[in-house]
Amino acid sequence: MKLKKTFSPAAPPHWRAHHSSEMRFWLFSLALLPLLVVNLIFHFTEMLRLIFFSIASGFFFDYVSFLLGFQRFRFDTHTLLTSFLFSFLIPFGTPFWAIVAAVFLAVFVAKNCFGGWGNFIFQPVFLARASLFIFLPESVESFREFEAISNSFFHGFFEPHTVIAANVSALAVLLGGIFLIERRLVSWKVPCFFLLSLCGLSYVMGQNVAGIVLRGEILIAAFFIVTDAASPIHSFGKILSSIGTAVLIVFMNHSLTTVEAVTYGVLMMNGVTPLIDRYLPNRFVWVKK
Amino acid sequence: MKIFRQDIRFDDYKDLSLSTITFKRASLPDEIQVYLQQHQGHPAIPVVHQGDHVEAGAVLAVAQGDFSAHVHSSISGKVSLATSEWIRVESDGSEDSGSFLKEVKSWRDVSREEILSGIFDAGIVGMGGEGFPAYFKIKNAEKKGSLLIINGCESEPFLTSDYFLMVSRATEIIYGAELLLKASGREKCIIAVEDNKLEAIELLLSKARALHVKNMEVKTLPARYPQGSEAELIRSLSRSKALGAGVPLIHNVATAFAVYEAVRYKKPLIERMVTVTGHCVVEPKNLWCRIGTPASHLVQNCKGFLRDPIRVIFGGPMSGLAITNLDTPIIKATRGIVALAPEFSGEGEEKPCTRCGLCLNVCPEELSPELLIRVIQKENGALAKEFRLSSCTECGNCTFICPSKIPIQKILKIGKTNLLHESFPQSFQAPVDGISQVVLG
Repeated sequence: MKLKKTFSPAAPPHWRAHHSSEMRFWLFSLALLPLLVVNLIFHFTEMLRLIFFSIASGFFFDYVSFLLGFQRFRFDTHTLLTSFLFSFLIPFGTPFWAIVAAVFLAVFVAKNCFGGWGNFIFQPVFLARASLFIFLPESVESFREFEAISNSFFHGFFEPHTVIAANVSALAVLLGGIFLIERRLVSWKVPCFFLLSLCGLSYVMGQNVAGIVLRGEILIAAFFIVTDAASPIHSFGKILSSIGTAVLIVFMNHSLTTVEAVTYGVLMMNGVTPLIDRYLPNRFVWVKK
Repeated sequence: MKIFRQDIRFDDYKDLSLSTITFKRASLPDEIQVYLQQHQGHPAIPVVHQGDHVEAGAVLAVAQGDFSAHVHSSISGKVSLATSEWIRVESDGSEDSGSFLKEVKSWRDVSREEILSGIFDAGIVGMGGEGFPAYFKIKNAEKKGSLLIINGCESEPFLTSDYFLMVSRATEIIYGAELLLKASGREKCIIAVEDNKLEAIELLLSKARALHVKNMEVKTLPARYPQGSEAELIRSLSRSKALGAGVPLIHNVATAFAVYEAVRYKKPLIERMVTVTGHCVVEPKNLWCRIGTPASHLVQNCKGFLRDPIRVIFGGPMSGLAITNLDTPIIKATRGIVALAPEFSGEGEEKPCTRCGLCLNVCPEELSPELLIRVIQKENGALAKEFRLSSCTECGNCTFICPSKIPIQKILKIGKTNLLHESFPQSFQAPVDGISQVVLG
C-alpha cells in the first residue's frame, strides 16, 4: 500500500470556518436588495441614477487610491457596500457633482486614507452624508419641510413620496435586517437595544415615537451602522455605544431634523469608540483573576 | 462579563470513527521508535544498549527525578538503535504482550504509597494531550483542594478515543478514579462527560451504582469546544456550583484507566487507545495501539488513504500538531490521528481585520484578540499584561472563526514569548516532529 508520506508543516488550528470578509460584505449588500426593489418600483430612473453615480465614483476613487498605494484591493467589496448604502441615504434629485464629492470623502478620505476595512474612525457613509449637508444646505430644508408633514400623521411601512430612498419602505429595511440577524452577520442585541432605547427616550421626551423609529434611515442605522467597524468591537461596548447614539439622536432631534440627528449622533459616538475599546474589557468587565 | 455568550459550534464528525462497535488491537509493527521525552519535564535516561534483547513491558529508560516518567518497550525484540533522544526496537515477531502481567490479589486494599509508586513505575503521564507526569501532578496538588475531576469531555472534533474507552471500559475507569482518589487524598470525584456522549454517561452512572462507589458523581456538561480544556472545565463546574474549596486535580479518563491497569496488573503504560479518522481514511476506527508505532502503520491498519490528505494531525484539528512525516511514531499523549481532507483546511490569503468582533465573541477566556494583536505589534508589554494575554489557553477558536484568515493564535503565541517572557514547559510535541527528521533523513 502506497501512502503519501510527507506533509508541509502548519500551525494549529488546522481547519478554518468557511467564510470570508468579502462574503460578509456581499451579504450585507444583499440585505439592501428589498429596499432597492421597492425603490425601483416607485422611482425607477432616479434610483438608478443615484446608484450609478455613487457606485461608479466609489470604484473610481478606490482605483485611484489603489494606484496611489493605500488600497490593497483592485476590487474592494467594502467600497461597493459603502457606495451602495450611500445611494439610499441621499435625497432624490441630488446633483451628480455633490454625489461624487461626497463619495470622494467617504471612500478616499474616510475609508482608504485611514487604512481601509476595519481601520476607519468615522463611519464613511455618514461622514459623506454630513458633508452633503454642507454642500447642499437646501436639502436640509427639504427634510425639514417633509418632516413637518410626516410627523403629523403615521405613514406605515410604505411612503412613496419621501425625500430619501431609505424612507420609502421601512418594511424593506426591516426585512434586510432580519436577514442579517438570521445569518448571524449582526447580533440581534445591538439593533434591539438601539431601537428600544430610542423608543423609550423619544416617548419620555414627548416626541412622535413611531415617526422616529419606523423610519428607513433609523432602521438602516440600527442594522448597518451601529453594528459595523466604526463602533466598539466588544459586544457589550456595541450595546453601550448604540444606547449613547440613541440618546444623542433624541436630544438633537429637538432642534435638528431626524436626518441630521442620526448622522451627527452616529459620528459623535464613533469618536468615543477608542475609549470604550480601551477601557471596557478591563475596568467595567468582571474579570476572574 | 459577557452578557450574552456566543459559543463556537461546528460539526464534530465524531460519527466517522463510531461506526464500529468494538475497538480492535492494531497489528504488530515491524519496529517501534520510542522518544525519551514524550512528557513534560526532564527526559528519561536510557538504560539499554544497542543489540540488547528486550521483552514487552521492559524499561527502556528511567525517569530523571519526579518531574519525569519511565519509558517502556511496547514490543519484544532487539534494540537496534539507542541514542540519548530516542530508542528504536525491532520486533522479533512474538505477538504476546500479556505474559509480564501479574495480578495483585488484594489490589483494592493497597496503600496510598503503593498506588503512587505503581503510577510512577508504570510511567503514567497525562493522556489527554498535555503529557504531564501523573505522579508529579498528584504530588504537587497534595493538600491543595478537595476535588478530583476525571475529564471525559473530549471536545476536540473527530476524536472518539476517550468515548470508546468510557463505553468499553467503564468499570475499569471507575476503579481507576477510585485509586486516584485514594492516591491524591481528595474527598470527592466528579467524572465530567459532555452531553453528546449519552451512552458513556448512562454506563458510568449504572456501573457506579452497581459497584457501590462512594464520593463519585457523573456530571453532564454541554458539548462545546473547548469544554475539555482545564480552564473551561473548571469554569463550567464552578458555574454549576460543583467546585469545592481549593484547586481541583484534573485527570483524563485514559489516565484513570492506565492507573487501574498499573495498580492491578503492574502493567506499564505501553498501549493506548488512538482514533485513526478523517475523511481521507478508508475505514476510520479506534485502535488499541502500542506506543511508538509509526502513524503510517496505524493508517495501514485502517486500510490506508482514500485520497491524499492535506495534512495529518496528532490530536484534534483545533489544537493538534501537524506532522511532517507519516512515519512519526505515536507517543503516550497522542489521542488520535486525523487525516484532514483538503476541503476542510479553508485556508486563504490573509486579509486586513474588519473589526467584526467574532474573535471576541468566541474566546472562552473573554480576551480581546483584536486589541492584543495591535498591542503585540506595538510591543507594549504593560498593555499586554493589562489585557490578560497570559490567560490565553491557545484553544484556536479565534483563528478558526476569523473571516479575514488572520493567524491570530500564532501572533498571540509570539507575543506571549516576546512580551511576557513566558518560559513554556518543554512540550513533547516539537521534539517528536524532530525525531522523524532525525530518523528519516
